[in-house]
Amino acid sequence: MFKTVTLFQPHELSSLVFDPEKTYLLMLAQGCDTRLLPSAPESTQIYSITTPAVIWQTILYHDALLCCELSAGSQIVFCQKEKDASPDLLLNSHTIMMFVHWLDTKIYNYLDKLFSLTPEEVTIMGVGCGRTDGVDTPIMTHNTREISNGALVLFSSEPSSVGSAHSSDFHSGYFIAKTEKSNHIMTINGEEAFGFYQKMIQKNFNEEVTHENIFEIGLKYPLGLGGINGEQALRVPASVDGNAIVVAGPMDEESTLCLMKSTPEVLSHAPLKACSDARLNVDSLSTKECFVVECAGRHALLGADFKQELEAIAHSMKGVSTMYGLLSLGEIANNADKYIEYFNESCVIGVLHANQ
Amino acid sequence: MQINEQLLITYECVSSIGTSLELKTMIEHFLKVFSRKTGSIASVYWEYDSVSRGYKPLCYYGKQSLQYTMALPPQELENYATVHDFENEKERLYVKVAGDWIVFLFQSKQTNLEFIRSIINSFSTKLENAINACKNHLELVTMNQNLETRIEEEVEKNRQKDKHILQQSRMAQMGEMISMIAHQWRQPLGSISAVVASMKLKILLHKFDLTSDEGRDAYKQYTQESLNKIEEYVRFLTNTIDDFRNFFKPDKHKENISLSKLLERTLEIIGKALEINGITVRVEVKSLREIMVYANELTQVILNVLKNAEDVFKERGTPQATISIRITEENETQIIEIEDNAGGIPDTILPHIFEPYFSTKQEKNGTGLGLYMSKTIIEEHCQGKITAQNTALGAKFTIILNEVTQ
Repeated sequence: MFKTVTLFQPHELSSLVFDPEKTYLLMLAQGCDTRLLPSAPESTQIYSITTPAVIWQTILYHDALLCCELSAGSQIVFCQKEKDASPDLLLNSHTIMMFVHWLDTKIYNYLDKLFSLTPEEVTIMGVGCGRTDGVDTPIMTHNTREISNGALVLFSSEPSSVGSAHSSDFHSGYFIAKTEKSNHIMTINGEEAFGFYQKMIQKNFNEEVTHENIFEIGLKYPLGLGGINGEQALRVPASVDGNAIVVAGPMDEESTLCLMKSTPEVLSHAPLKACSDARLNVDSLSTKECFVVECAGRHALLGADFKQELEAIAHSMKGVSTMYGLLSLGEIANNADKYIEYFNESCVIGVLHANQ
Repeated sequence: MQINEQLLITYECVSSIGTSLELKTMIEHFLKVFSRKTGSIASVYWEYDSVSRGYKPLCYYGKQSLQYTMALPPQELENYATVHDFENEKERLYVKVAGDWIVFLFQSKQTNLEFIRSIINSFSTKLENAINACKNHLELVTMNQNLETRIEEEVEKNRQKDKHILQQSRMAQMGEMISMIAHQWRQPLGSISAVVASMKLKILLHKFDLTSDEGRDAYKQYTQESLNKIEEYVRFLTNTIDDFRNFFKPDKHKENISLSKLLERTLEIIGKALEINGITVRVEVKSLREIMVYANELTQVILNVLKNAEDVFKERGTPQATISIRITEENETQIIEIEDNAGGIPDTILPHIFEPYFSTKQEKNGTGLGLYMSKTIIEEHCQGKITAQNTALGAKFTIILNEVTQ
């Protein structure tokens, strides 16, 4: 996937050198000051995505970047239409990494198309990109130009493996939700969504939900979507629009929801399960690197314990050449045998081929 | 927990059923929701085609690379079947709904097919009803389209038929007109001939003494009188031609005219013929109100009714043949009634007299179009009504014209 992955902290940004004719993916923490970056040769292709933070080994950085140089067998494409990625590219890829804007209303369309057009033996993982600090800057760029209304997709012929888990507990349900604009829950059980959620939280946990603290409360008490196979997808209430709840991920127009409960105790089980799943098809970790996608919500809930979570992952993946990743606002994971889902509050572990 | 899961998946699948009356759209949506909820990695809908008596794929959802593996079930299967594909570690679920097959593909290791099957079972009736509704809707739409095409064809046929009838009718009218002109001209031409013969005879017999002043004066006076008579007859002939020419004018335009005036014009054309055949015409005018009508067309109708009466009188030899014409008004309508005393129309014939090609005069060159054209003119061009009934003496035709719709 990547020939090299290098961490650049704020004081190192000016020393970053881009080679001509190469393609880079910059994973930017939202606090990274991109004005400090040197200019790149015209022939260099630079794509960037922004998330709340980046991970290097077991440390979280809110103002650094990961500079990922694409390996020879990898290619990155900004896909808006089905034809943007050639059939050859789709059929010859073994690993696909997808980056989407976390509030994009067409996420399910991208996932459907990707699932439909790729072969069975492909591993798909992905990240919901965005910022939590309210700063209005482009989330995805190509050579400093903003790209939107599409997905940035990284195709690689190298094989990989992925595992994911969230470890939230079912609390109560189910409720019938009606959704508009993909991520606006308008009503739950026929009542205005925000009012219903307020009542549920007050009744079950004796906590008050306001327009201001809904994200904080939503992380603790997310909504669960139903499904038979694989990990249950969660939707974290992120904000309020009128009487509608805006969630961090797409939903069908008519869905059933349940109320979930996330506590630091149950959250800690997730990385081990994700690591275990990711290692299932991997013989040896010595030629591998570990790509970690941790939901920003997990970081918010775990607080200081988040460091221990990263250490637990590092321990579980002991032997990999590098461990890096990012804090996300949505996670995508599919290990060839499931339909792709967009998760919240999940931990996704990718085991990638190491080129460095 | 599993009961809850089953309920919620069933609910979401049921919600996705019947979202469209277009079968492909509805099934696509259903397969999408069902696949996402159950983890099916591919699904296909095989629709039965009654024409080819085989199945054809209507829509496919999921991994395109697996499409070639999504064949129809083996023939011996009835409604449900699960088939394990050991080679590829896959499970196939076949479900027959509304005569069609849906095939779902799952990964073996993580699928509880019996559980999925029980979910499908719980909404299969609704799915079947929704599929049948789509098929019925399509059938109805197709029938409507065919019906529209057939109506258009029939309307076109009728249009052509009407044109043909109109053409035939014109020819028939021409014949009748020539016959009427002949009637009208016979008497004045005879008179002209008599005057000319008288003049020739008198000249031949030297009736005038041209050697004397008195004789020359008498000859001059006689010649002058004879020429005046001829001139008068020629004027009559010219008027007759003008009348018929006006009647045959191709440019139809409405005219503000009273029905009595219109009747007067008509009788100028046919009156002489009726008189020669000993038919008395009695006219009673109780309305002098003017009305905007296609005067020539209406004249044609009255003429046609009068001509029919004349023919019946001649055929039956009715003594004291009389036609009574009455013009009245009632609210915003004007009515013209034409009644004869020829004994009436046989009851078996009366309901058919306005039908095209219906004639009792086949052997006398009747076209059967006169009254049909009259009805067309009155009802379609003048938005009026023409009816026929038998009275104590004979037949009565009533033409009702609405002043407002004219």
